[in-house]
Amino acid sequence: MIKIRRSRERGQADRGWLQARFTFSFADYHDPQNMGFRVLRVINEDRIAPGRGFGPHAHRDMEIMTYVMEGLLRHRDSMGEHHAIGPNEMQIMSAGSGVVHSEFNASESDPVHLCQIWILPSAEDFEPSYQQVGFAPSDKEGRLYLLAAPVDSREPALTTIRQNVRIYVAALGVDEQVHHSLDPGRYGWIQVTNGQVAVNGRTLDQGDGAAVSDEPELAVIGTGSGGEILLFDLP
Amino acid sequence: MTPMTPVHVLLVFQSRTGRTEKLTLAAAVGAVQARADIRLRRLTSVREESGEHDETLDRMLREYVPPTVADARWADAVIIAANGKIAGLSVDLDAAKAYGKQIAADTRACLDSK
Repeated sequence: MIKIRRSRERGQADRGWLQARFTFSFADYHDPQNMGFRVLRVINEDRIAPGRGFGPHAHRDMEIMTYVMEGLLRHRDSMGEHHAIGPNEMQIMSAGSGVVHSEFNASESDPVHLCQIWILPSAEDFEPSYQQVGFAPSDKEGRLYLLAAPVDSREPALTTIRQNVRIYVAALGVDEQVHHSLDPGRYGWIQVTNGQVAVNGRTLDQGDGAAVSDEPELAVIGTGSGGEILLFDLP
Repeated sequence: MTPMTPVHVLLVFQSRTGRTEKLTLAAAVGAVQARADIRLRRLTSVREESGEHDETLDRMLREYVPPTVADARWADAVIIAANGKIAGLSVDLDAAKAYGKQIAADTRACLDSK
C-alpha cells in the first residue's frame, strides 16, 4: 500500500523570515492523524531568509538529519562543532543525552532551502555526536546512494545512524529508474526534494511524501523534467 | 504512571568574548541531560550599542534575544551568568543584577497579589 502525503496538505508556518512545511505534526501544527511514520517523527521543509535562523535551542534523544537543497546553513553546537552545510552533503546530529545548537542561513544575500528529518533513536541517552560528509553530485545520479545506515550495516554508507534505518538519495533524469526491495516487515517513506517522480506508477511532485507498507518492490522513475528523492527504509 | 512535567530552566548570560556563553551552554546541556526544558537568553549592555563590534559579538547579537519577564514567569529555575571579576566589564554585572532585580520585583508582585 502506498499512502501519499501531498505537499499542499502539509502543515505550514510563515514567520516572514521562515517559510516552513511540516509533513508531520511539529511546533504549533498538531494533527493527530500525522504524528509520524514508524520511527520517522519529523520531516520539515524550510526556506530561511538570508542571515536569519534558529537561535540556540536544545534537543535530546533524536537523530536529526539535515539535507540542504539550495544555499548554505551555518550550524553551531555545544559539542564545539561549527560548520556550513550545503547541497550534496549529509549532516546527522545525534542528540543523545542532550545538545544545544543553532542554525542560521550562512548567506546575507540568498535563501537556504532544506529538509530536516528527525528519527527516533534505538535507545535513549547515547553520547551526542555529529557527522557531516559531502559526496559528488554524480554519486546520486541515476542510482540510490546510501547516505546513512546503522554502524553494523553490510552496505557501506556515508554516515551512521543510531536506528535500524537506511536513508538513500537518488537524482533521476526523465525516464531514469531505480528499484528498491523492502524486506518483510520493513516499511518505506519517499520524500520528493525536487522535481517529479512516479513511485510504482503513482506521481509525486516536489514536497510530496509517500508512506509505503506491504510493498516488497519499489520502482521510482523520473517524470516531468526528472526529480530527486530521499528514500527511507524503516523498521 | 503520569509522565513528569519537565522543569523549565531559564539561562541568562552576559558575554562579549563568548567565554561566558560557553560556560552557559555547558550549564544548558547539563539541564537538558537532567531532562529540563531550557531557554537561553543573552543580556545586552549599553557598550554594545555604541558600535563596538567583532565577529563573536555580532554572532551573539544575531543568535540570542534578551530575556523578558515572561521568560522568568515561564521558568521554574533561573541561572544568571555574568563576569563579575573584571572591573572594566562591570556593566555586564550591572545588567545581570538589573535583570535579577526585575525578576525579584515581579515575583514579589505575584506573591503580593495572592
